[in-house]
Amino acid sequence: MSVNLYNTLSPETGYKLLQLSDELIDAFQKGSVKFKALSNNTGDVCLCSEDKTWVIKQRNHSNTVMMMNEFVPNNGVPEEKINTFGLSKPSADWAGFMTLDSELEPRLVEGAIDITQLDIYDGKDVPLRRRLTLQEFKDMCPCSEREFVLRWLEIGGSVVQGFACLLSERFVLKALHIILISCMAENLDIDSLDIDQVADALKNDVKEGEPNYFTHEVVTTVINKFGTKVEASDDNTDQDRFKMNMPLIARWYGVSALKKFAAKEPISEDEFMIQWKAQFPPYFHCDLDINMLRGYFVRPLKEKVRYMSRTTLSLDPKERFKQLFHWQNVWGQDDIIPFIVELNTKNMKVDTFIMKYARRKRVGNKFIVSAR
Amino acid sequence: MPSVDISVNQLVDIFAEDRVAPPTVITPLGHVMIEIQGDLQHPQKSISPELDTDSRFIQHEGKELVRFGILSYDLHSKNVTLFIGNKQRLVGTIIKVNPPLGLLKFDKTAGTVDLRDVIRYKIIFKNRPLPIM
Repeated sequence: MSVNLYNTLSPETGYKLLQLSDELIDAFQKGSVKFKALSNNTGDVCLCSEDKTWVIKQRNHSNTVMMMNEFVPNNGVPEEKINTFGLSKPSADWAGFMTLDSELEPRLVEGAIDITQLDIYDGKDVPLRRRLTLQEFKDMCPCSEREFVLRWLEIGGSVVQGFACLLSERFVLKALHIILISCMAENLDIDSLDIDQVADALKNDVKEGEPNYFTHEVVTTVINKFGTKVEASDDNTDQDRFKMNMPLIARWYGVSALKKFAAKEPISEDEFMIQWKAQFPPYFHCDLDINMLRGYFVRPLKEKVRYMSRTTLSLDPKERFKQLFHWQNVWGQDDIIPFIVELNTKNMKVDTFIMKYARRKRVGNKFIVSAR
Repeated sequence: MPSVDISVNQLVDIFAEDRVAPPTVITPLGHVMIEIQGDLQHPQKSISPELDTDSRFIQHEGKELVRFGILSYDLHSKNVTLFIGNKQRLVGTIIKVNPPLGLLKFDKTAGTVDLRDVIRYKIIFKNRPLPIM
């Protein structure tokens, strides 16, 4: 079969070729796929389906890739004018409308939220400066809708005064504290909390004329962060119910207590446990164990603990081990792992990773780690 | 255009198509992809009809087109020959595009992105041109 080939003298613009992986074809079949231009300046773009995210890289090439489509010429060209080189008479005509010099290559990634674009809200009447609505912020994130919802509440994202912002750690803990107090005062079951009920309880506690910092959005963020959704109960309500994660709550209070009482000087473990317990609302019961706070404290002296922030430690494994042994000569393996696990970027077995930088010895049924 | 749904209105049936469709050079929506590993030179401007003795320049739907060659293909053997002008000949093949390529059309004025077609096969010319004897 032979065809005449034409090319336009004024090529069309605005076309791109996108490599369609099986996952991407599935996503197009299942529902809508969003094209997101993340920034006007950098040209970074991504594709987002309901639950998956692809970042796009443009691969340039120097070949001539011509897109053509079939057409029927208005006035047929006389046969004798076309040299067929002995081929059969052309049975169709194709016209090139665009020549492309690149392909878009999608790469499946985990959705991410760029928190540096957000205001941090500390519960005060400080005006927010970046003033991005939640939708505007979502459009800037290389993140699908479902991944966004999961991560947004996990990192403490909320909406204040109509704008997306990140709740500060201090404010999150304050809100959690108030929520727990209200739950106890109103006799709400913390294993089956209804966000609306809690938000109403908090609203009722606000004195007239005073601003309510613990809005429905803030309560939603905090309860999602510290709770897990429970299966629908028999009362057939549509409202989601949440069970509070007590070990997580205990850890947040514990880290706060470490920052408050053991940041400058080491304090005895017994005294710290008393202070930790005292942080909770009165009559609030929660099991406490110092091991819950692994990764947040060191023991520079026997039976004494001191707060240690991982962000102050070196990102070089060798240096970090050196710093850790400076604060504590001998570590239980379980105590040191949270401090070094993020540096194991090659996904080595944790025992092997420790032995690369330190001495590891078995004592009884435990392993201890010390400097070489 | 910070964020926009990619429209796939034209492609509902094409996605439903078997992913191991038999070789074809022209898609159900009438698109063909030709790749030449090199440059293809052709006139950039039309010439007056008196000088255009072979009727190479035509008008179609308000656009000027230039005929630059004739292509012969065989879906069975997947061999393709392209005669360019009167002097050069290219020999190529029909190959499967893996992964398939989506043809996206961006319209900055309207702020839309359309997925116009899915290309599963293309004609590729990898070799140097041969003379026409």
